[in-house]
Amino acid sequence: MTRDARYTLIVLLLAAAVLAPIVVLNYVVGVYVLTNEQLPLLAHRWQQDTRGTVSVSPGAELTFKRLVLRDRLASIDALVLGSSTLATVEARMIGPAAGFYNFSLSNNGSRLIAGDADSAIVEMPLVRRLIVGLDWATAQGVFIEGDASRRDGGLLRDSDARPVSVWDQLADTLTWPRVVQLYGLMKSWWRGEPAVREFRNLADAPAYCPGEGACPPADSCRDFDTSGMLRRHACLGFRRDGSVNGTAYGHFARNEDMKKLMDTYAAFDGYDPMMKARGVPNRLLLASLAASSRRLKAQHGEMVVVLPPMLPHLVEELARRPSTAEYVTRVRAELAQWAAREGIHLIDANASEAFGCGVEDFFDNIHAGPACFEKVLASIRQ
Amino acid sequence: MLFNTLGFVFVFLPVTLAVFFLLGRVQQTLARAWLAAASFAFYGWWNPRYVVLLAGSIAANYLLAAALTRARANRRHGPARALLGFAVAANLALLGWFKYAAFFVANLNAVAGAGWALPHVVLPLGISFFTFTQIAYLVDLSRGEPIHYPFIDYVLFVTYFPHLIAGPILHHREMMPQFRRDATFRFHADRASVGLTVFAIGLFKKVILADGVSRFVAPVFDTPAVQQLTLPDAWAGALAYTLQLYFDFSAYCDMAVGASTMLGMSIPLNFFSPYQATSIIEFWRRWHMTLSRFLRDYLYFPLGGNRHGTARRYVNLMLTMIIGGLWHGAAWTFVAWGALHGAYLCINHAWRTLRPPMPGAAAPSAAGRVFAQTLTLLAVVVGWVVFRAQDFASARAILMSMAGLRGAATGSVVGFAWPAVSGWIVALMAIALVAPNTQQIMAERRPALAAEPYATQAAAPWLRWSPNMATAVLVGVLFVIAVLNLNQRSPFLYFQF
Repeated sequence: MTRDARYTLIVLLLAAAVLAPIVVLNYVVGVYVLTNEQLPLLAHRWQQDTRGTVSVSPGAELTFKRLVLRDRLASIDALVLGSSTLATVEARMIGPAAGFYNFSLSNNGSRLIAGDADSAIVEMPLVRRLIVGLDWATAQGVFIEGDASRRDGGLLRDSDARPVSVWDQLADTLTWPRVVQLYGLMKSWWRGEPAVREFRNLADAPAYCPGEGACPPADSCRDFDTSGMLRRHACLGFRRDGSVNGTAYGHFARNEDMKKLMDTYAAFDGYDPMMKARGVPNRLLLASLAASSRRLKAQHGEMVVVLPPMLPHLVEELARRPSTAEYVTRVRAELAQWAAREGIHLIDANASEAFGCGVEDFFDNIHAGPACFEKVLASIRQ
Repeated sequence: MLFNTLGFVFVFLPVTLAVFFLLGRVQQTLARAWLAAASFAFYGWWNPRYVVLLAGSIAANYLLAAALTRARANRRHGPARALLGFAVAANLALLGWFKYAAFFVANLNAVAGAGWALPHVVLPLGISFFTFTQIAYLVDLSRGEPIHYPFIDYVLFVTYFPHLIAGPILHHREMMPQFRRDATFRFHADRASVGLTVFAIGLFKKVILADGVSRFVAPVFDTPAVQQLTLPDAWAGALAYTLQLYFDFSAYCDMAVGASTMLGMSIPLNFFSPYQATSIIEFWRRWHMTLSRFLRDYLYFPLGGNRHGTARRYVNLMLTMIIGGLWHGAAWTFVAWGALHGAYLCINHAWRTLRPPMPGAAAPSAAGRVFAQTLTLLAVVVGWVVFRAQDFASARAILMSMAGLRGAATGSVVGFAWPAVSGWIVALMAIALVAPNTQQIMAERRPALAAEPYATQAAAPWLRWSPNMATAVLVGVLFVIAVLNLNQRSPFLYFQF
């Protein structure tokens, strides 16, 4: 073998020696979660039986929520559509709705949300109240590019959901967050922590229950998620009304260093689409939502658009900083004008301090806990 | 398809290489056809519809070339000239429609007050490269070079995937002989080792260095507070963009050379440490070298070059650089950037005319070189500000802040954390200004086609590549780090919830 051949072989073998285990291990974890069609079904059945909280993986989240929604299609009269920024909205916050479901999904985009609003009005005859979350501080928010008209569809319709292909799964195994997660898993294994022991039993016991003791009072909990195994015993997951039980997530402290928080979140990469679009939301997206609102009104219903709460005083800070002031002011003003023009009930909760939310109600800059939403949605309850 | 994607690295490239060498053992024409088909697939990955455009452009140009060859063979010079004029005009019209139609209508609307709707045209990737490549071929043909090639060779020459998306601009005289060389179709471990190394270096440069420093660019160039930027903000943004562009382009060139070397073929050198240039003339001999060559041979020389006196020479230089600027994009800022570099070149040539190097004079001192290099880099940075800025007002604002004309405030209105920003800029600038480039590191194997003085320049012996265990481990680690950072987000994993 020549020196060059030996050299080439060493480079390739070294790369393979590092990358192959990552691909294989992450694939094993991922494939179980992403392609196991039984998991969301099992989770749904278990929740139907127990009315408890279930943890499903991000890959199964849509299927799981859609299964729940399909079962209750004929009884849903209030529906939340949005991204994770609306995930903690609970039925009790809306008032006397007989059938409420929070169909917010992680990383959900405005284009799909608009499509879902359109579908919901057609496919759910009883829907009278649609609560739609519009984000401007996330990658998939109101600044999406291109044609965002309703023909893009949504996630409520089966045909619009793209199946997770083997290539998608393989590519995902090499993403940085998955590698970091695997590193955590390996560390846990090295230390002999229980999460990994439980993982080894997955093949025999697909549904793992961390035990009632781990859940908040009066809330049974069951885990159908393997990708989130390092958060076991936290009882994270979806309640029967679709809202997220975020009790175990780390909240900010009441006496948090606000200056530090402001400095951190003033430079958040979620604002990049806003900077690129110079604060102008996608017109077709707004037109599509306005059309849905008019149709719902014709059916004696109402669309409520919520600009999700952000960390107290963060919007104020962004509106003060020269680098963001103009665009933040513009997007909020444009959305307010649009809502007024179309007769849409808009709750701009971005400045959450105006609603009485405190820093301790937040998990991060754009994710508020239920205590904040309870205050924000008070006007709907009345 | 882009070089820095998992699909290219782990599927497209290995499959293309394996099938190419397998078919090469059976029949070389089959191997060439396979490579051309793979190149079409590479192009169509982005948008399959534009494969038709690429194929149509190739077919039309090949037919025109055949007609041109016949006309010249029959000594019908008038029709041959008309045919060439038509062919060049048709190619430029295609390029003009896809690249400049909206720009043209917008300007017409602005000047004439017309309200014409802007055509919604998506710019096909690489259209400038495959158009220029073919124009050069047709012009050479019309000059009487006996260069009508077999169809499959021609298709491969235009579509050859290492160059298709972002260059280099290939020349038929460099590539065609390689498509017919027996050695090309046999796997050689020495080419694989060199190609793999150069590709891995390029991938690392792109994913870690170029993408790493890019985070400091948009906050300065796209901020609404562009009028209020502090002096350090403006310099940080300008230098970050200067480095992002450098490492991005350098990385792409390396990956193109690496992929081509693995296929057994050398493509022309396109990038040679341009920020180490000590004059603007030298900068353009090191930056996008094949574009400079194309503009010189097919625009500057036909315009008359320096054959009609000094004044005409400067006019030709300005015209060439302005068109070169417009080639980079349809916006007035690109035109201004081209004009700026045209002016730089005129000044540089005028200086050389006034102060010609004395025969036998000593080489410039180290201090002199540093001064010249700094001055050149400064001029280039100013140019990049105009190139990247959203509009002239933003460019002016950033340049004024850089010059300290908006005060000497030291804070940051865009929220920069200075240790991180300065760390990135200093480290990358040191690499760009001092470190040897990939061609110099790989000097013993010369992976790219280069002319003097760049063909024989080599890194210090201890920095030169050789196929040993330590280098293999280093390159393997660079490759793994790059691959694991190709995608910073997982679509299937929660970040917040």
